[in-house]
Amino acid sequence: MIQKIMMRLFVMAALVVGASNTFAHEDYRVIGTVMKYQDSRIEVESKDGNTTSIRLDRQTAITRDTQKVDVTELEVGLSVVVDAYGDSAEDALALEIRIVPPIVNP
Amino acid sequence: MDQENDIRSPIAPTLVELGRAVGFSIFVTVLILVTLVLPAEYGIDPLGAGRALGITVLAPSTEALVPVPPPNSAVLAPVQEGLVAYYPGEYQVDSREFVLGPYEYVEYKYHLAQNATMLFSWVASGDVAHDFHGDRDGAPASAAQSFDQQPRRKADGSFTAPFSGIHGWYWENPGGNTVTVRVTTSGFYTAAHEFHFDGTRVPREVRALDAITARRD
Repeated sequence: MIQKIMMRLFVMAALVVGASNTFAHEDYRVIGTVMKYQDSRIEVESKDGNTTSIRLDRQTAITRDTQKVDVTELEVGLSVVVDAYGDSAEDALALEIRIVPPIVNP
Repeated sequence: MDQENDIRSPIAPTLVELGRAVGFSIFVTVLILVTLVLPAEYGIDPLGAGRALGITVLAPSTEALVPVPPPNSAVLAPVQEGLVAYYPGEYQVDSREFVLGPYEYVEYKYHLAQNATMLFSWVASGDVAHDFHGDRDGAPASAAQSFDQQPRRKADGSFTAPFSGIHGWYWENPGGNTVTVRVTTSGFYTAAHEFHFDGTRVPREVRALDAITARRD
């Protein structure tokens, strides 16, 4: 009986967590220059001078010319386009980091 | 000996029992999701249970997470009389220009009632990725319905909204040069919203045709 109840609670918890995660957070894009990459966080300075710190995880795709590259390719000084999601830009998790040619600000 | 006989192997549940248990679990899960998780985590409270329990205050106050609410003004829903559609409000016009820096994107959408019509014309100074789409009233942006994603630098046309909600364009500059997008519209919409790549949104005013002709006089 206890096993049954535990199983039901486990299934419910799994469904609640899974279902709640399907509700998307807001998408953000950060465009700029890598200032720092350390401890699974990347700091990007955008053209307005603001620096945003964004989390990375194992699912974060790093690409250059649409090809996946290793995370070790991320270096300070590179121009990047970071697509992230979260409650706010500061709390965001990077989904994809594109390494792009140097951005010349107009 | 009797004690030995009491040691029995567990009885496996039948398929019916399993189905009943899974069904019950799903029901309770949906109940918890709708009454507790959504109101507390996302401020989405379809049953009003979150407000009644006072847990909607736990939802993050970031305005960007909340779907764009329907406008407070009268909804310009057409009333069909034969081949003619009449609207309970004025014809609106709008014109905007967006300067997209390298890799930037913008979304610009109007609120249209179901079956309301809009004429549009837009042109970009360079290559853009675009998506003409709509979001139903109250639905999250992730549930958007796309109408056109064909590669193009310009488009001229008319649009009749398949549902009440915000309808408009996503333009993305895919390259390293600045691109300008100019859009002009007219029709029976009541509000405009601009969404930026950094997650911010700005409500924009639309003008009645009378306001423009009066200024010329």
